[in-house]
Amino acid sequence: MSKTLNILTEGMGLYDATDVSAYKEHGGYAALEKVIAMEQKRILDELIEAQLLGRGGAAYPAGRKWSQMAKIPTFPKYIVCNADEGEPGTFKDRELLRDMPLKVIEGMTIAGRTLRAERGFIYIRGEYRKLQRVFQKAIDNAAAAGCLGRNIMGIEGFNYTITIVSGGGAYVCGENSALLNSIEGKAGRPRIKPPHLAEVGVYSLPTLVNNVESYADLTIIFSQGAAYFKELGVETSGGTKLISICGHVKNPSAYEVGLGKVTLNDIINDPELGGGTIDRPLKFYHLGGQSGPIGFPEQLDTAYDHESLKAQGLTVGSGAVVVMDDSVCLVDYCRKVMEFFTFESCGKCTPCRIGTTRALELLTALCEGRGEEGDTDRLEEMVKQIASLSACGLGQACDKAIMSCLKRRREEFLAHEKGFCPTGSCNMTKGGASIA
Amino acid sequence: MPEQKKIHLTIDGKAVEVAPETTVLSAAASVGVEIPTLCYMKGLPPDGSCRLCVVEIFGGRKKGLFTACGEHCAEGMDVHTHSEKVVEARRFILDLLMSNHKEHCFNCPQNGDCRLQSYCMEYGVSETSFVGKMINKAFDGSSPYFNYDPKLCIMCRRCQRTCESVTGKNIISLNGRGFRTRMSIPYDHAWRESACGICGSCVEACPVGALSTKSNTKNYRQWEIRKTSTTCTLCDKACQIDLVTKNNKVLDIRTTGGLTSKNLPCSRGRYTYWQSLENRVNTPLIKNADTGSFEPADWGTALALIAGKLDKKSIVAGSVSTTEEEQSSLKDIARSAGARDKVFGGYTELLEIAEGAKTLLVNDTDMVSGCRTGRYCSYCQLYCDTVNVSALNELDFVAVISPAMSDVAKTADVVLPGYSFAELAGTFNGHAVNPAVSRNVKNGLSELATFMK
Repeated sequence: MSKTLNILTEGMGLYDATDVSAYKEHGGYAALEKVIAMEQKRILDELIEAQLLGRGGAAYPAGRKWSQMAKIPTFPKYIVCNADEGEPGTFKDRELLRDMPLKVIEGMTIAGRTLRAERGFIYIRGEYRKLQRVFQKAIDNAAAAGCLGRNIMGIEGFNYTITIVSGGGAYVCGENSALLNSIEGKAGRPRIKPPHLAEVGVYSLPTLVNNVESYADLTIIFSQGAAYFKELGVETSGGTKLISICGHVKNPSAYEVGLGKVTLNDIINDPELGGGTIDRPLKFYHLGGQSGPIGFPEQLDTAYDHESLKAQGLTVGSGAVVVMDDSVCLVDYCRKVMEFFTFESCGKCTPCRIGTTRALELLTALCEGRGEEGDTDRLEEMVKQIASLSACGLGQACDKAIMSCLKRRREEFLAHEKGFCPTGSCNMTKGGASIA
Repeated sequence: MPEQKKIHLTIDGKAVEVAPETTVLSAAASVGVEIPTLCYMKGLPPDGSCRLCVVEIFGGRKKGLFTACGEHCAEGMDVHTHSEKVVEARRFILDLLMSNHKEHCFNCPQNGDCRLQSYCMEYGVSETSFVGKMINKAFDGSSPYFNYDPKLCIMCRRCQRTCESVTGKNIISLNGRGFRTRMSIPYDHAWRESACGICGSCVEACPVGALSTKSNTKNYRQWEIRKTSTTCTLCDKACQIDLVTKNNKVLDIRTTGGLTSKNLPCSRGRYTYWQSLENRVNTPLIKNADTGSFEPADWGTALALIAGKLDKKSIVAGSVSTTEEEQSSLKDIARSAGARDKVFGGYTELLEIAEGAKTLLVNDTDMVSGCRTGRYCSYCQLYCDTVNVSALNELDFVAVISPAMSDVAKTADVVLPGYSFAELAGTFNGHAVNPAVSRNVKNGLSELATFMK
């Protein structure tokens, strides 16, 4: 059996992605037609049965999120699609936006129909300017074909429009509440919760925020049924997952795999997927973007689904798999990760604003041979505090990579304390100390 | 109305019953449990940026550290406000804040009244354990009344939220991202070049010494001052203010009841009063008809001169800032002289009132009128700059009771010392005017009223 699947990505690249009639020939809008005939309760039950976990990174059950949203009596409601794909190493939403924009539009329309919202926003990261044009064309075509706008598919009172909002370039805008602030034209800084976004979202009205892939998955769930979708994955999380593999692998690209149907070993080494590392042996791999944990060769047998990975202290996250061979120093890699968080911190809360900088300074000292005894413990304590005290997901996730490394490769950090880099890639003379 | 559902929880072992959507912070306050806060502002939505108010929550649906300012109480919560984990977390936050804070407490205007200082003391953070870079932004002393030292700023955003939500001016915003985030005014200009109306509310909001009143830098320490609640008499908004005094001198003005109270003093109310305390009238002055200059006179001569001049054709005028007690004295004076009494709001109205009169007695208590000699008059041009009062020179006789040499006082033949509202006890617009400082000079108005009885 093939390791990669072609379910969500079915027909990808075979026809003009913005052409509505071609999309319909490939089974497009079948899901929406079914949803139109269904009652809200049945739609929500179907979604809960499908076990769709949010594809953005937090893996919150979509069925639960929608049900909470459906209970709120305030109108109008808004549907927001988070396409601010900012996790380094993640590029699966790019594929969907470029080659399957109508699937995302259909998914968002299903959400609009179910939750009785008449407006949708898609927040596409600013760097995807070209994709924004493609997506706009798809929206225009869908509107011309009567699949968006007023009285969709001839149904009286079924109105729905989608507006593209371009991101301004901040990673933190991928955090839902910061994203909504950004849509409103405010600075992209997270809001304090409660109130939750389902109650007080964009323009202080109930808002549903989901990832691009989550919306696209709806087309499978409602055209083929929840049972079929669940079959694609495992008991606790249904469906397929788009993953993006990059780093020191032979075949860096985006792939679709069934959740739990492949192992990490398959993903990295199978010729159909990553194809293994180039020349040098695998040292570690980073899952789910910068805010995800780092895995090591001894964990390769883990099945790729939310529950199995969680048991190993790993996550699916955004679906990113960054593979590194043994030429990379782990401490230096962690320094780079922390540099990313320091740069992307919005500066609102104290632990993230100052804490990430202090952690970076410590890691830099370790990489430059200025480390002192106890720095590893200090670092561990520091990132633990930052993660537990930060206001939003950005700061709360900044410890994941470092903590997973400290758990399994502590000796590499301890060696840096003494001014020795086992990989030999850190310039230990920078800080004045000589190589031990 | 149906009875609202109550939520039951325990905070530090004390059972609490609160209404839904009550925050842990206010629930704790209701049973007298104090939780340290830096960014929290009463009356504004929680910001949750300083993270100092973390508490440990057990029971209920949630477990772990949460900020008390934003977390809603839930049934069955067991909140620990000073557990080992909480104290450790707060120490970490304070340590981080101190690592980006210029440590010069001895020189700091906020010394003794600094929230950061007192929390560091409470949690035993004597110095930061981090060595690293610090924010590098230049000191801005360009605003006429206050200074901004970014090296003391802890980014609690209280000033920004005050400017945005309380005063609605939106001058202060946050610039930059991450470690480089800083409070700034548009385009990072110098403060004086901004559209800031200098209401000074942000200065009052600052929990540390980053924003400080200029008079604060040299003149006083927080433990030396005395606060007196009174009413600002500079306009009919009647803001409730606290006059900050030291050694019988007014040094600063703060809002009674905090920044979210109804009436926030404006730039005039907050700064011009004590900036204009120069040029006081301390003895009765009589204008020398030949030289045109004022010469000190004794009380008897001056009072007799005024009493002799007031008759049926005179007008006795009191400014709107005159308290009710003073107004009553003015009425008595007018009655005994058979003159008419009037109230004027601003000098334009005074000129209208004076038209056709031969002699005029003015009770000009508005301190702002005297601030022409003070600095930065453009902020209080209401009375002092725009009205040409030289028409009063045409009158036969003008007597003015004024605390300072105002424009009107300069046109007078006799000037009697007056009291400012900081020195008066009385009523104004239904609110109390309390004396904050005492003055060693007799009050011209009461002296005249007694004299004419």
